[in-house]
Amino acid sequence: MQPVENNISEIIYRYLQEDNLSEEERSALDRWLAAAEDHQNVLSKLRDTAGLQRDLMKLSFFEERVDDAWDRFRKERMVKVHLLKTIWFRSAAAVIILFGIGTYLWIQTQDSASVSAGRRSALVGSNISPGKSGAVLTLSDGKRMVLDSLTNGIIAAQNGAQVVLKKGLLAYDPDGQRPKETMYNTMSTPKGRQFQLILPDGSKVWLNAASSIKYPTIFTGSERVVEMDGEAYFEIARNPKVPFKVKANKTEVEVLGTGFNVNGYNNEEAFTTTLIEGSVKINANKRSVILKPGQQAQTLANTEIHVVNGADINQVMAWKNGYFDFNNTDLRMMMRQLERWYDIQVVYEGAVPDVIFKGKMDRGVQLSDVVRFLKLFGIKARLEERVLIISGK
Amino acid sequence: MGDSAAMCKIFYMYYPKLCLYAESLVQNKEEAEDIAQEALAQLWHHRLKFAGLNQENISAYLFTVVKHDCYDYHKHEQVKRAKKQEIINLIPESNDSVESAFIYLEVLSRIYAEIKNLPPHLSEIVRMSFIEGLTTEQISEHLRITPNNVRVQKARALEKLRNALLKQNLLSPALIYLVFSEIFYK
Repeated sequence: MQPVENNISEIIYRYLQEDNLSEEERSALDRWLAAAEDHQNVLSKLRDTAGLQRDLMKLSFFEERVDDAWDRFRKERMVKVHLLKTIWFRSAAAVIILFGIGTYLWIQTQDSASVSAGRRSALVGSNISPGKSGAVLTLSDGKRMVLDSLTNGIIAAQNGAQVVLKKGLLAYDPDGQRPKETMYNTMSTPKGRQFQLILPDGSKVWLNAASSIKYPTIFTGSERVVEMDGEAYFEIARNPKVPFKVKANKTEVEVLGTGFNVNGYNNEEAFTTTLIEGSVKINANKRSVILKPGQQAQTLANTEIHVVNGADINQVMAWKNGYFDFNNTDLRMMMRQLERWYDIQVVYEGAVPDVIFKGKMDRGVQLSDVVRFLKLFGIKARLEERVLIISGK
Repeated sequence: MGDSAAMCKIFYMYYPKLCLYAESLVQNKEEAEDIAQEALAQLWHHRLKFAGLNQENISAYLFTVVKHDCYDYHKHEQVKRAKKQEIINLIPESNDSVESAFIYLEVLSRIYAEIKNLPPHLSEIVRMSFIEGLTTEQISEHLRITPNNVRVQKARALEKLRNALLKQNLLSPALIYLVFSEIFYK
């Protein structure tokens, strides 16, 4: 027997037409009507002439729009990039654009990486692909190794630790020996690559594109110190006896057990540290500030530390979670992010369009799709080799 | 059938109903269309997960997603209004389950299909008078036929409409005035 729901609308329809129902259908209807309190309402709604007429009118309104709607759906929703609806004006000069690219993409990429990757590459042709997992590891003797997500296993033995590569993540497993001197390794990501690292103490580091981190192969002594530039997210293994310090530019982040994001790209306006949980102390320009979760410290060159309450954590963490968050981002900020991820250079011809973006974009989107949507919003953009040219009016 | 063809079929099957459902919850046609589009997009995006599902599950999914989005929309609107210090309207809490709404809309579209399937000229007249609520004069103007002709056609359409529900409604006191007064007394 077919499930009732499949059948019941047919039975109700025929019942209202005064068709003779079979005994079986009749009892199916009775059972359905008794099954839930609101089922009876369906019949009374269908018998309410005025309401029915109103709903038929509305249904016909939507039925007539279905061709256009399908057309829109096919163009906007069935491609990898889709737009949210609104364009509105903030002032005469500044157009705010809603640039939303579905979160579905990264869900899909995670679920079925191979399938979608295959489909994508079949579609793209000469496209510039988005970044992916990858990094370069520089060992203490200066030897360089390319890390990718395909290799697995022990790739080196370093002064007190085994270096293990597993699925896009590099980990240091201490081998139990106490080395006499401290040696350093450096992991760096070029543009278009990001990677994950587990330090010898178990602390986790996510390294964004165009960034690097220098750390000892085993932590000894009274504090754990790493040096970095670019952007990284840290989840520090708790150990109150041995404080963890991140040094970047002229700022030092002293960790008191915690998850936080450090953005120290040289071409970004401010050096920012955003605390997700726990507690960190920022030391910069001979001043120091202790952050609470949700706070962001911004250090501009030689100025005091500016603390922002209620930082947009989702936006700060977007890169680690596989997407871009362009909410309230202007064109230059957006382009700096695209440069790092797509390994391109952005050149402006004339005035930089004064736009603010809204919305999110998956990090798996092809650059050509990004360019297409910039154009759709009236931003003149063209791609020549690996240079994206934005021309003002 | 490829994914796209299947999606096309599903889209045509569900879009109007989802719009109507959303409209009943948000009272805004444009917003309702966006919500329906979004729900169908979700289905498309997660199609790999839905591969083994039957139609019943798909409709349950779509209607549930629409309902949630409508509630989100209301929450969002409330926040906006609260900021403007306007009076906060409560979300119109419908007692009807997603299932009831779905069954109602299923029957409704069958009725709609029935009107559509009348011979074209009759379908048009029933549409105009019953669905759009136009008067005989307005219809005659629109179709460029005499009012008398409209009346005759209407009567013929009623005969043809084997849907007792529709007939019953057209004959109900509320609509006798709209339809039959025109046919018989003008």
